[in-house]
Amino acid sequence: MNLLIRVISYFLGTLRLKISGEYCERFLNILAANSVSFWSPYVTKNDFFITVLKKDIKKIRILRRNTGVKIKITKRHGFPLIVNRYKSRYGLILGAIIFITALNILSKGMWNVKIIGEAQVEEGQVVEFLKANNVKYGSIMKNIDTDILKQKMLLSFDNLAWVSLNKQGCVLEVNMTEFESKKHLSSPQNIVAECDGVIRRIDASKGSVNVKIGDTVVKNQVLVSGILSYGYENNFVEPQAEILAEIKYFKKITVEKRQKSIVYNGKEKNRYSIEIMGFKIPLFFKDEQNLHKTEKSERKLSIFGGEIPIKIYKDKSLYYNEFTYEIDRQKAEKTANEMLKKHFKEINAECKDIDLIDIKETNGGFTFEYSITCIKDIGVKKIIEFS
Amino acid sequence: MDKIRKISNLIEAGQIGSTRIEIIDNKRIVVEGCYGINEYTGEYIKINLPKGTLTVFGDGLQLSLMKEKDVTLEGKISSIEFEGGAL
Repeated sequence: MNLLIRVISYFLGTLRLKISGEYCERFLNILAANSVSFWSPYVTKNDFFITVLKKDIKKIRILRRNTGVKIKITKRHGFPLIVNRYKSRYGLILGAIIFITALNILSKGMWNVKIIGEAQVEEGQVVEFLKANNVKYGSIMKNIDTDILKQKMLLSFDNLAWVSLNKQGCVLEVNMTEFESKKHLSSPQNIVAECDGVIRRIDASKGSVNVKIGDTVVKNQVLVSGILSYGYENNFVEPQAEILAEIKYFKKITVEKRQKSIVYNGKEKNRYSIEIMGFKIPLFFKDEQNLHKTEKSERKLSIFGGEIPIKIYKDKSLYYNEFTYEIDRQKAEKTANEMLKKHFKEINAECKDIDLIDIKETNGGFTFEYSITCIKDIGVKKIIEFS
Repeated sequence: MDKIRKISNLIEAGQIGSTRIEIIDNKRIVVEGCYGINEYTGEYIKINLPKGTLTVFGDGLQLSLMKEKDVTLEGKISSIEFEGGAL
């Protein structure tokens, strides 16, 4: 009960009064007779101290007239005191009103999309799909029809088996599951030779192997058949095999005499942009014209583990100087060799022998012709055509 | 007429217009039907009654409640004194 009284007194506001004069007791009687509540009286030699409600002070001042006592407010306490202190601070009150209004309005909107599940659908694709269906950042959450969106998503994304959209505060959670890919034979296939070669190794797990090690094969020759015959029956399988063959071919590599080189000069600059609720605002003025390469990164902000619709984009520019120079034949050959190594890596071949058979020099550069012997998987799948 | 008779009977029985004093241990005293405080110090408090004065002596005496005709005092009460005519 005491606590309740204290809380009420706090919100109404209280004043500690000092009453001094000859007839203080008479003044107390007057207060009691006029239903003015007071409490916590304290008496000193000459003065009385009482606590009254702030709302009664006007009445007390009127009653004080002609009683011969003096009243002084020694202490003020309670919520009205705080309000009074900021009475003229209109900006504070306006700011508080704007804040509360903004919070109320913003809390009704959809500000984030969260993808759950292991589907191969990116957040960007989902956001684009939602935008196409009039669901953007800031749309009122209550107006988003998740059932219809779910059906449309299943129709739009063929790989999705199941979709669920849940509203969690200002976040739209999209939970997706993909179909399990079924391995099925769409049409009968064979593994044929991509080019001429001599078989060096066969590693087959499915199908009927038609060649053996040491055989010379020609382009489009069937290496592994997808048709398995059992008596009068024919079964079709998807052949799986790695057929490594030694192949020989010629390759020309052209290297230009004038080469460009990039040397970073150590200078770098970061430029930031901020995206708030879908609006991107650059935080820099001038677009750099000097030679540079840019590394882009983005970061989504979060508070206490919850993502908010604010992204920071960082463009890191690394400046370089460009040099052009001419190379001689020796350097050109070295460059050509490096290009050749890259070529073998691209075709996934193991080089056995390289012979430089011809070099041609023109005004623009050098052309190197090589005779190459290498080992590579020459099997490629080809659909069987039935006439 | 019946009403007037009823009220006068009640006055005779001392139910209306009389002072009622309630003492709880020596710590609290409630006086109903008084006319306010005459004197107030930490050692004694004089209360005006319809006929006379009631003085409460004690230590650390305090007014805990005061209404138009009711007063409640708290503190260490040592003695009570009546002055004036018959109550």
